Amino acid sequence: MATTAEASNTTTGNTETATGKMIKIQSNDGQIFEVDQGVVEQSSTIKTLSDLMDVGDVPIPLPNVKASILGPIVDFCNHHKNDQKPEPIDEDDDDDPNKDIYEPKRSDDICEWDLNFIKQFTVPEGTLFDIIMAANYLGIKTLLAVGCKTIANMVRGKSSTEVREMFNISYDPPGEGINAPNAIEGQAGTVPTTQDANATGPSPQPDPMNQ
Amino acid sequence: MSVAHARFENLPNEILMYIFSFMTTKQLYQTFKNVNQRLNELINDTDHFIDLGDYSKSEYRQLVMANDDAFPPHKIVSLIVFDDKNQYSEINRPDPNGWCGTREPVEEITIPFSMITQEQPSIVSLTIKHRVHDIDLVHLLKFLPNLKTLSTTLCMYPKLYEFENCSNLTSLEFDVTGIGLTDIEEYLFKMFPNLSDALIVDFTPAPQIRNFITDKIEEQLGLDINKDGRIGGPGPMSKIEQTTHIDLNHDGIIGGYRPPAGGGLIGKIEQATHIDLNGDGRIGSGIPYHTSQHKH
Repeated sequence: MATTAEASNTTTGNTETATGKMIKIQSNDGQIFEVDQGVVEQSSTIKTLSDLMDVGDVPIPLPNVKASILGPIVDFCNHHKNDQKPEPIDEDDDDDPNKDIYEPKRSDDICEWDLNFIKQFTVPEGTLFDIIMAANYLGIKTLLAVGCKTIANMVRGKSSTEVREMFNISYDPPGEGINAPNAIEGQAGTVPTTQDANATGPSPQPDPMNQ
Repeated sequence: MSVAHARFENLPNEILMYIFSFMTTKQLYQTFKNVNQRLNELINDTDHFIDLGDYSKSEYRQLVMANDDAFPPHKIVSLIVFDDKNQYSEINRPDPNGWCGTREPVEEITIPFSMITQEQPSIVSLTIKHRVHDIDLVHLLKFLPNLKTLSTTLCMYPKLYEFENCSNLTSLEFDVTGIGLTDIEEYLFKMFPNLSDALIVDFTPAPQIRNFITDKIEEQLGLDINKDGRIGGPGPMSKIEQTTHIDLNHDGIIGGYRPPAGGGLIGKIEQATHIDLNGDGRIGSGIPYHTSQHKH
């Protein structure tokens, strides 16, 4: 049975009612959230659906997002709904004129609120990936950026072995992928042996940059 | 009831590429190379930004040049060559593991440029910071046909005329410290005719060159921008002519300056409108002004 959860907004308080009509969205496990236009504007998916469907009082189904993820996403959007919109050309806020246009984007510019927000999602529980995928599905660029920057910051400086352990990434099957006999020609050391898909032990893969 | 959560491997390629966009090539290699085939292929598909300040030569060789399959040179879109550690002096000998300063031939060491032995159309941006020695830029640019942005110190490249091959450049930032004035006057605008996005020139030690540029802009516009009483002005050639009393540029004037025919853009507008826009008392071009030279 669907339950309704009014989107809370601790930062904007009563101004919420001034933002126009409310729209209902429904998670894949049936929970309904009521959000205002400020939230809708941040999600290209919800915005498109609401424009197309002229939903009225019918909740917009979001079959790829569960309530435990959708709730925090609504909180995130509520917090950011009064943010200044970024310049359309400058996606990553890098305004240093001396910066090479191909230079990697900054990932150390996550604001404190967002840092605390993203901390509730973890790799072992998989919720960090859940929220990234949900942000991608819902087309919420700011949240997607926060999630991806968090991942980038987590892995920076780690070796491939550590990353494999951290994310529990599967090895390629025997004789395939990087375990293929000729996969890493010219590289010193041995080719990694295939291990159990859930293995988390150290990889035998030599890594020149980590030696 | 347990709830299935996503794993790293469930992230679609587009998101992984987005995560990669926050990392340098070196970080990417440290972190994701040879984790599995999928990530290797994604790294292959990523455009690479290489700041050689991040690498020693041996690291670069180990990481990049030994892994051609995983790191195709054609994916390099931007290079920064950086070396301020290797100054030639008795006290501070060049670091043999640094990129520069060893006087080795370009083909053997320098840069990943050693792997640029064939055309690299992917590279559109090249930055050479500080006094990086031993880079035969003219040689290098032959292999970078699509280079659009070049940032460098030209003090190592006194023969500017050799840069005529750089005509595709639309953005140029350079420090001309040490460049002879005549070189600049003669070649600056000829060398890079397609500059349209940016031209940033550090003239700090040679203000005469800045004046020369201003004069050239004045000629183009037909306006006296610097209020020196003339549009455009004599360049260094005039000083040489004054010294030698030889009309080196065959303009019929020794040590002087003949303003552009037509009076520049303003002159053309004046001719079209028959209005003396710049208040010089004439429509379009007129007699040269302020030539302090002797006419022969």
